[in-house]
Amino acid sequence: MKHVWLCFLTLLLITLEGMAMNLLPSSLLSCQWQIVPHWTLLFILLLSIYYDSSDTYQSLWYALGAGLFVDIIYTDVIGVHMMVYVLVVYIVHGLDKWLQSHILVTTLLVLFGVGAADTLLYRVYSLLDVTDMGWGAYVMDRLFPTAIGNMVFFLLTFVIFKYVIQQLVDDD
Amino acid sequence: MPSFFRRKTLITILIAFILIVTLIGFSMRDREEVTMPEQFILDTAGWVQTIFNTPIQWVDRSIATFQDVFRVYEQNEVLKGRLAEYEGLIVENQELEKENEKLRGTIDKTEGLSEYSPVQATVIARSSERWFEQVTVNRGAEHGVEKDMAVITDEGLIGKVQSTAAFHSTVKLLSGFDLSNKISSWVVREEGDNVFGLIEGYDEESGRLVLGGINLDAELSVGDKVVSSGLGGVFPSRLQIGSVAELENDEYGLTKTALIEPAANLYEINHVLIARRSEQRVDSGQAGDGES
Repeated sequence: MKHVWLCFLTLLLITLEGMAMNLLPSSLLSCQWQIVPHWTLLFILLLSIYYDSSDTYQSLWYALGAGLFVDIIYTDVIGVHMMVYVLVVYIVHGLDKWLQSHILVTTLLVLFGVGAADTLLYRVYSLLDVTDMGWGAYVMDRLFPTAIGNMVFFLLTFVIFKYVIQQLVDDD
Repeated sequence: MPSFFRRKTLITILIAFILIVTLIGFSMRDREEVTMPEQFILDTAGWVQTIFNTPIQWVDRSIATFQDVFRVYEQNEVLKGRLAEYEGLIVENQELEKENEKLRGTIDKTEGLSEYSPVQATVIARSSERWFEQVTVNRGAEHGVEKDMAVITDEGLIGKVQSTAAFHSTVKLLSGFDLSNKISSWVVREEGDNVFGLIEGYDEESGRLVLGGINLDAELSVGDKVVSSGLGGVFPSRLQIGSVAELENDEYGLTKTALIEPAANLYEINHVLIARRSEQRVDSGQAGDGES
């Protein structure tokens, strides 16, 4: 049952990402800064930190599925988000084992995860010729605004997400 | 992670990598149709988005109505002025239409390239990955939408249908166009013949479309309107694309290139029309170079 809920929540976040892009004021879209919502990844990172113990890897499956969905719904190329999400969630899951559980540590881990995922996406997409942005422009125009935007979302939703995940863990 | 390089893990990683590369390769091809599972996922996401969009649209529309009420008086004054102009235009239009029909009759041709039956659609989402300029609309194959159809707003062309699921489809916006999505178009001159050119891509820095392949002798000036020519196969003709903003010779000096300011705002799209051209294509197999 809880997996049904988790799947539903993940799907909801994926669709909300696209809707938010459509509903945000157009001045935010047409300006030079690219703010990319990585909300689903953010949620799955929290899942790997709070839901998975050090030897369960359920969040990886969610990363796989969510990545595939994002690829199909929002891009032409299947497999890129999938690979990046799984990789980043795996790394964060590994790091989480060695670090103490504290809100500051969690914030930094999530920030690291989102930044790493976006950088990886940039690398893969420039390899595939989807974008021809330079490194400098990428860091200034996309990485920083994206990191800031996602951190704002993280701070707004952290309590809710944590509560939901805690509830699901308690169900066990 | 001490067990990272165990043989089993290594093989899993290798297989996963090969799978990913295969998937990327498979999806990067120029596909005629997306696969069934993809269509299913697109539709699922589309429905969820529609559920959330409905109340938002409602609020949005109420606000718009409210604002309209306050502007009604001014608009009314302006429109009254326009009305007189239109009376004359209508008569002229009717004359031209009759003449057009008569001329068409003489050559046994009933439908022109400019006629299309529109499918109305609403934008429900925009790609969250900014490098893919595409939006999802709530009409799909069941409503008669097909790949490569032109998508317009009341301001002008905004893109073309990239893939369709049963009830939703994705639209590639002009800002995501590259060399594989050429649009054959006319630059409309007030005097003299129209000038032919091909929209060859989008210049991200200036936010303008690149219109290439213009004859060197052609005379263009900044501000000229650009419309689709309908010669490529799928697009109806006379769809507004934009206006010439800048002119330059191309790198070899053989043709001219113009930068086109798109007529439609590509960042604020709500309601769109998908233009289904009435005139049938001769043979889709012959026009296989991706031109539209």
